Amino acid sequence: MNQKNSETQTDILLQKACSDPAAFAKLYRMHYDQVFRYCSRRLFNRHVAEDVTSTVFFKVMSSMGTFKGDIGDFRRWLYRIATNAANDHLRSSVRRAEAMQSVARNCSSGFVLNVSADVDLEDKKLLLKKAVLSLKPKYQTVIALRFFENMKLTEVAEILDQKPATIRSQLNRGLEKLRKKLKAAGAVVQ
Amino acid sequence: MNDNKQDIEQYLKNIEFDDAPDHGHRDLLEKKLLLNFGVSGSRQNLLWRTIMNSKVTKFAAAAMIIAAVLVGMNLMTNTGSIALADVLEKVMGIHSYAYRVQTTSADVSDYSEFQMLISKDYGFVSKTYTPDKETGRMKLFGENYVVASEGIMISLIPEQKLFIEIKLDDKIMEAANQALKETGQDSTSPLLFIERFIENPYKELGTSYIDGVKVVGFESTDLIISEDSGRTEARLWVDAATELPLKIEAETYDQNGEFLSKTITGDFQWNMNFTQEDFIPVIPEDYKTLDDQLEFLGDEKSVIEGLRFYAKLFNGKYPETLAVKTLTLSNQVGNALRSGAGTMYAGKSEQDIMKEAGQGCMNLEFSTVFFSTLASENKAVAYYGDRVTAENPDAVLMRWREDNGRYMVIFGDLTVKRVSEEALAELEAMPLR
Repeated sequence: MNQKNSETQTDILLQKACSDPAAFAKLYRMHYDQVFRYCSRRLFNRHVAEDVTSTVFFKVMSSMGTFKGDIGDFRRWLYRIATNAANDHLRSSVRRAEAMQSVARNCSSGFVLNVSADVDLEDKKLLLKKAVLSLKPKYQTVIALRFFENMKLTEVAEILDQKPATIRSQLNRGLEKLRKKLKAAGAVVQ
Repeated sequence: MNDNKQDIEQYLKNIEFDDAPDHGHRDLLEKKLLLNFGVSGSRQNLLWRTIMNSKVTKFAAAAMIIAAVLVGMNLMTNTGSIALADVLEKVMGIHSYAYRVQTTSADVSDYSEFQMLISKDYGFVSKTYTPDKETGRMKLFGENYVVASEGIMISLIPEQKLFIEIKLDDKIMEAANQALKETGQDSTSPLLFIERFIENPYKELGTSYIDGVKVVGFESTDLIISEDSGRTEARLWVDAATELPLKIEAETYDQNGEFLSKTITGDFQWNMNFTQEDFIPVIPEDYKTLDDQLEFLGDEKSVIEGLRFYAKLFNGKYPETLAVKTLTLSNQVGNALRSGAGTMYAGKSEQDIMKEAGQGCMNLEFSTVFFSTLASENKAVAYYGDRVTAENPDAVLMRWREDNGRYMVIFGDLTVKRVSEEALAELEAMPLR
């Protein structure tokens, strides 16, 4: 089956998915992994990611009737819903603190206060995760889509329904804040 | 780590994630989604969910919740298996604990989560969470508190802003005990589960790790929770260090092998420092009580009123049998309401509907327990709902022997009469009219 035929069949699936449970189930299976992975990369905790993934697909199911577009639009729509669900989760300060603590528990003891150039790579990554989680959700979003999902700026802009220049600006600000947080935590070689 | 922007970007790109999808979760979520596919948020459905989640008001709530308390507190017996018996003994020795239950049920098309607190001193708390139809997010749907010091149970229904307070007298406690014995309803109780594991064939799964904790697994593919239930496939994971349960997974099937429900019990917290306040509900000022509207009679009047309610909903037909599990008849009522039988409620306020349907379900639930109690006491109970309807006014619908040797008879028109054994034989020999 060539790509065009495949896309046509998927578009038919999309049209049926709001009234046909089998079509919805197929669509769900096609996208579960993608949504779960994105949620995991946003929340750094697979159990929380499973909960948020559930929220995402319940939302998709209840809003399927309002969706208009092709499979590309659907994927962007899915990312948008997942982004909102992840950000909703992270907006709770308690949950955010829990997520950071969860990541921090995995950091080597004393690392944050005493970092040097020979710090283990894994610890650096854990510290980086913690620093990302401490950013505002909007910065976390652009960083995750750009670097964890490996998307182009234009793709991120389409998902978030903003201009690429706005996304570039947010990304730069996010990275700058990240750099400062890492520096403040002593994780930057002076 | 270099402060160069490109290096930060490179580190971000190289972060490794624990993001391999668990297809067990994928499959479970798919079931939940499909069970809810196309479910409308109609008023009747909302009403029914409210009724069901309040466990059909007084009686069924008492039967279900008190059963859990009884299981949690004093119904355990010790048996042979060395390792699991040790686990059971450990759990029984714990004064207070909390756990979370997630259930996906096929027959009520619902997914729920329960947060349980149990204290031998203060009582029992169960909070029910269900997915919001609009957002899919879990929201608090009902709360049940058993306040041991007061001997009361209080149920809160946030969506309706209602609460119910029930005095846990001997009659309700006895009925709850009976319901527990007959149905094994509280299949989520960790204590009950361990006991059933010990009683049934199981195999050890060896050691494994769950969330970084070393566990020992046990599996039963043919766990019998109660005498009249079907088969349950379950896995019990015990923390190797503490010898306390860490996670229990169970899939239940009916006697025809049809999937009924999946339950995951976990997030155990042992030896909690609870206080009395944890077991006393805060009832918001704007909540109304149903206490003065519902009445638990607990005798043949409840049976008659339950049957009357059922016949009104099902065109004069009575339940085919009363030998059913708790909530079976209430489920039938719920399905009927959802399919439009509730049009008889047209024009009535939600409060009135709640009152009538809630009272009706409560009486129906009592009828089933009343029937099984009479059967267990060898009171010569018989019920003919499979052939007697409201159109057979003189036919015997139900009868049982009283202590004086005479028989109580409920006829097709729901009138009652006490008769001798000979008169009963004549009545039952009469052809249906």
